Parts: sequence; C-alpha cells; structure tokens
Amino acid sequence: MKTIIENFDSFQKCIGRSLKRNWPLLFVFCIASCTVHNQINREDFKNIPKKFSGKFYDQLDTVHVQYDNKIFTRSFMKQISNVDNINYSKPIQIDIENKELFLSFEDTRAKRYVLKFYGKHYKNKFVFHTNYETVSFPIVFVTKSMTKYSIYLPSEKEIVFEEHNVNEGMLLLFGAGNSHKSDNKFKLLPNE
Amino acid sequence: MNKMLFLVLIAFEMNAQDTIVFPKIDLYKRNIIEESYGIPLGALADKYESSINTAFYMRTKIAKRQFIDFGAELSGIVKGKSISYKVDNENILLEGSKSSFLLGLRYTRFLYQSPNENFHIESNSGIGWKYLHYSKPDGERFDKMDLKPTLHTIAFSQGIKIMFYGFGVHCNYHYSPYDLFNSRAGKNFGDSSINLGLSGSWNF
Repeated sequence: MKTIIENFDSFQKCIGRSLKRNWPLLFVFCIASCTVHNQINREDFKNIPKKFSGKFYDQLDTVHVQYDNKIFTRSFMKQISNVDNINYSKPIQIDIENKELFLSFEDTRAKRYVLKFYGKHYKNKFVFHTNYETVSFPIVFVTKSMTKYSIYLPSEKEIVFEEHNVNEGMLLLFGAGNSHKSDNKFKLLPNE
Repeated sequence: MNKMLFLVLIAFEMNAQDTIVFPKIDLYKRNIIEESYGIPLGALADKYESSINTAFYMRTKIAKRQFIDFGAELSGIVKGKSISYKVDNENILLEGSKSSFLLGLRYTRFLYQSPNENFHIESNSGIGWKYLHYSKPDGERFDKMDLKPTLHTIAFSQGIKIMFYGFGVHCNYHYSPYDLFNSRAGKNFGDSSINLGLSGSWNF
C-alpha cells in the first residue's frame, strides 16, 4: 500500500511538471476541434445569371409521423408561402431580376400569387433571407435566429433551393442551439 | 357607362393576383475586428511609447442606422517606461507596462450610408473598463507584499470609421484617467490616447 502511494506521488509530480512545460500545446488542443466542412463540392455548379427565368413543377408530399399517427402534407412552395391550396398541376414560375426574386404560382381557385423576395447574388448562387435576428453581447447574452435560402443551378436542367435554418442562444456560459439544412431539388422545364 | 364599369370590375376580379412582398432583411455586418496603432498623448506619453491594439466587437441593431457594439480590446504596449508606485509609504520602481485591456460597449450611429449599403461612415461613442497592467516586481521583499499594481479605470472613447465592402479605416480617441481610482502611481498619470488603424467586419 505504501509503495503504491509513493509511486502515485511521484506520478503526480511527473504529471505536474509535464503540464507546466507543455501547457500552451495542451491549451491549443482544448480549444481546437475537428469538424467536417463542405461535404458537397459546389464549384462546378452553373452560375445563376443576373436575370434568370424558369419553370418547375412542385410536388406535394404526404408525411406520416410514425409515433404520433399524424398525417400532414408538405411541399416547398407551401412552406415558403403558407398557402394551403396550391395548384400543383400548373408549373411554378421563378424570375430573378438583379436583387429581386419573384415566385409565381396559382391556387386551385385560379387565383394567382406572386411572392417577391429581396436578395443578392453571392458567388454562384442567389441568396435571400426571410428572417435574420441577432442580439449579440458576447458572453453576457447572444441569440441568433436565421432562415436563409440559397438557389443553385447544379446543371442547366435542375434547380436547387437550399434552406438553412439556425436558432441558437447563449447566456453567460450556458447555450443551446438547433440548426438544419435541407435541399429541395426540382427539374427545370425546357424553354419553349 | 355603369354596365361597362361593372364588366371591367368583374374582369379584374377573375384575374385577381396577390403579390406578397417579403420584407427586406437588414444584413448588417455583425462581427467587427479592429487593428490599430495607439499613440499616447499628454502625460501618458511619458509612460509608454506606443501600443498595438486588437479589438473584437459584436454588433446589435437597436434602431434604424443605430447599433450597440459590445466587445473587448487587447493592447500590446511598446517600450513601456518604469514608473514609481507608492506602497506602504515607500516608492518602488515598477517595470514598464506590457499590456492593456479594455472591455466595454459603444453606441454606433451611421452618419452616411450609400443606397446600395456597401459604403458607410459611422461614429462610435464608447464607455468601458480599461486597465493598464504592471507586473509585481521579482524579489523576496515583494513576495511577502500583497501587491497588485495594475491600474484600473473607466474609459470613454469617441471615434469615426469609414467602411467600404466590409473593410475600412478608423480613428478613435480614448480618455481613460488612470489616476482617478488609484493615486499610488502619482497624480497626473495621464489619460489620453489615440488609435488609428484598419477594421474588418463580417456576418455570422
């Protein structure tokens, strides 16, 4: 028992000494972290031109929540516009003019809707936000709530709407967050 | 005439179109980094030659073109000169300062913003806590003393910044009376300094 305690004491001293010598390296290890960045290479995607027009068909998905026995319908245009009775048999028209985006569709009563968003071209995509609220007093109180849509053209015939949603907050040293990204890919109808 | 008007009204209703305009979101840059060269003025010029400052601020919008920046600034002091510090009725010599730290908030107002929001001129008025760090000298007689010779004070700042596409230049005047809360370093220690430098800002 005594030898174990003696060995432990010298072991502690050894650890103490090596910590004092190597503390900068250990500190860097503590604050560095490994993350996976940029899984999808988007460099080969086509550039969205300043003036762009296209048509695509949206689709209504039926989602069944397994443990809840709830069934609800979901589609990209329904989520962004909050209109329930979109006519999915007519194509959705998308027009980009410099910094404005127009999405036009019809509902089942032949009423035409036009959604107008303000955004900008960034690298090879068109980016618009529907919500971006932050309060930033670092360490004391930080919150961020953002919904951002990016429009890509992976090829001449496809269009992708990527939705990025972030909700996070931090008070003193306690924080929590939630974020998700989802891609909606549509086939562009050929121009007549 | 009335029948014509009636027909026209019906025609408009059948081709009804609802334009829903989503509001334009203010994408102001929320993170700010400033690198500057600080020059002490007046009595403070005897205490150090110059400083290199790095500041990081995070911005929150409070009204149209008005923001609150909250953050900190760390300064490396160049050629700090020794000062005499009074402790227990004797004067000891402290080695020149090597660092200084400021933590505070600033009220920012955009004086001019271009229509496409890429260029703006802003004014920053700040208040915070600043301290000038002096280390306890080595030696047996000092180990026994409970001595923390750093000078803490309140700081006020006023600056102007010109930003173009997220990069810019700024000039800040700091007023931080070091002898206000601590008389051991002598009266008239010094209080003014001016920072000139570059700034960058981005969104997160």
